[in-house]
Amino acid sequence: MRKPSEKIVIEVSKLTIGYDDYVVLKDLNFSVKESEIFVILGGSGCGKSTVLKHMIGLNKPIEGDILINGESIAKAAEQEQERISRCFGVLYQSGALFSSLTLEENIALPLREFTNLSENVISSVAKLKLSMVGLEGFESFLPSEISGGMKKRAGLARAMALDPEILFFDEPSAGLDPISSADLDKLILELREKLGCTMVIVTHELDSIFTVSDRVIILDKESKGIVGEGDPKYLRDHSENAWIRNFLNRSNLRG
Amino acid sequence: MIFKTVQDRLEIDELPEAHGLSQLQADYQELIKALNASPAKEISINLKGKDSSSYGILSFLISCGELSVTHSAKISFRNLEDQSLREILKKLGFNREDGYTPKQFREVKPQSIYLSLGEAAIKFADDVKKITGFAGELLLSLCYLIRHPRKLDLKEVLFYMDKSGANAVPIVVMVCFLMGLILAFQGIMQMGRFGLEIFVADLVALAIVRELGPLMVAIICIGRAGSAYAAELGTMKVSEEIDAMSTMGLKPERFLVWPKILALFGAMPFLVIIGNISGIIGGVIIGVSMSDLSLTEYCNRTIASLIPANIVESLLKSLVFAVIIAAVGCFRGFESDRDAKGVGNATTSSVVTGIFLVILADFFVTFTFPQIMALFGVDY
Repeated sequence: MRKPSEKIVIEVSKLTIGYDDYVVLKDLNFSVKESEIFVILGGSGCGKSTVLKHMIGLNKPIEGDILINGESIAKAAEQEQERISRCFGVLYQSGALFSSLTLEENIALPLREFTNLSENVISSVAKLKLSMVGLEGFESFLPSEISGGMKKRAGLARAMALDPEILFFDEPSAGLDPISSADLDKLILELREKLGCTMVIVTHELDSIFTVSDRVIILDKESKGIVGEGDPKYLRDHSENAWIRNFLNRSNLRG
Repeated sequence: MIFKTVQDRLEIDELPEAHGLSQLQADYQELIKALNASPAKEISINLKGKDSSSYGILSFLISCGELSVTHSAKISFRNLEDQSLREILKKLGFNREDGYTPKQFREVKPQSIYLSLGEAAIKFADDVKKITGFAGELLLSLCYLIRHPRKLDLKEVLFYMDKSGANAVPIVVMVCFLMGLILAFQGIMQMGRFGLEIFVADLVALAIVRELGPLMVAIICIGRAGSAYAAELGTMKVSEEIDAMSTMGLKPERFLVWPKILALFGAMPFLVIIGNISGIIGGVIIGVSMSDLSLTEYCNRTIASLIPANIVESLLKSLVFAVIIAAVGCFRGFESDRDAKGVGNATTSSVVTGIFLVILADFFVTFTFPQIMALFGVDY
């Protein structure tokens, strides 16, 4: 099995984020290594999706910096940001497929925009990416015609269209049944194995955390920061923080 | 419920066993009556034998707490033995011996008219700023499109042209035809009194071509196209499609806005021409049937009254309106909140802003057009 290398691809330093004056999380420091499956974990409403939005440049931090391959996405001007964003793909919670385009057109769109491939080649690349996520044959379907699990997989295929080094996942298992969710986990591991992608996953699905992740950080709403970092299985059994042990064991927090 | 008033103490000695909702209402009213009849400084409730299992009693206790605040009375419990009831009461805000101070994370501020006015003014200023910014973004992406014309998705332009242009023809014909009928009727009623029926031809032709044709078509397009654009983009925002687009490095202005603007830009002049013709036909029907004028007389007069500059004005207005309608629709869609109500609000305000800006633009074009024509040496 492929193991993460020591090279750091994402570095977050002294990140403070929030909306307007309201600080959600403050002074976050963490880094993600190449080919690592890195999970951002936390209870509902702790701001983990907001962290992700900052990492992909949709929101700007109140303070601090986020470096992707050594370049700051937090401070980048618009054009620079566009260039940086080409090295990652994002799978949104609902898939966020363009509803007026077929699955194939959805994947073809970034290819058409950022490569010089001819239409025939683009079409075959799109077919390949769809088959990588198990959607061969669905090229001409519209997003509204397929199920939620399929939308997520198609979203993943689109995120991978330009062979990005980094993939971001926003709650990949939200709204999926346990079997589809497990399939998606398998797919994530498979992609890392085959392509060596770095993956950053925001989730609170415990099963998938133990299956896929190399390392997790746990965010806490009360202290507005990182309360735990490391291998999830180790944290579950040996963390000094009782709240973390309980969280990862899914036990009653008061009990 | 059994209670008595002892000096300035209201003593509730016994609560009913089970407190249903109707019982709750009755007891509450009884309590208010008692408090109004003789103001109490303290409400004392006997909780002997009560536990936390009845939601009715708990709700009643909250009501008592609130009444104690409004009547500035203390509240206290007697014989509170059950541990879980004690805990729940503490959680509900009965945290001191004699006070009720419930938690409140957000205070509901009373709406004052000055506050609302101020907020509306700030929102308006903010809107102006944002629209200017959006116009700048649009110009930037237009420059890009001019340099890379092949980056424009022609299929998309044609799709919207069909949807917002071709499909609007029936309603445009209907509305403008009726407008012509109405104008001619009003004209004949007034001018007929002075025997000036022949000038109705001038009135209808000039009013429709110079003003009402473009305006009616604009209003139809605001309702059909502008609102649809706002709802479409608003929904795309809710489903994170616009986020996905910008993190993929695809400019929403180029992919989502310009095809719509260009489609309306291409379609509206045709709609206006169709509308103008329908309006004039409407005028002819009334003009000829309600007066002694013959068809040829009326038509000749209509043709004589129109000069090419009138048609230029009509088309110029349609082009200006087209850009405003599509851009405002898209702008409001981008501004939409990420929920169902947000999309509804975005659609409404696309129509309101659209109508306002179209009329404003109409004002400027109407007043400056003679000067523009003078530059070309046309007397207007």
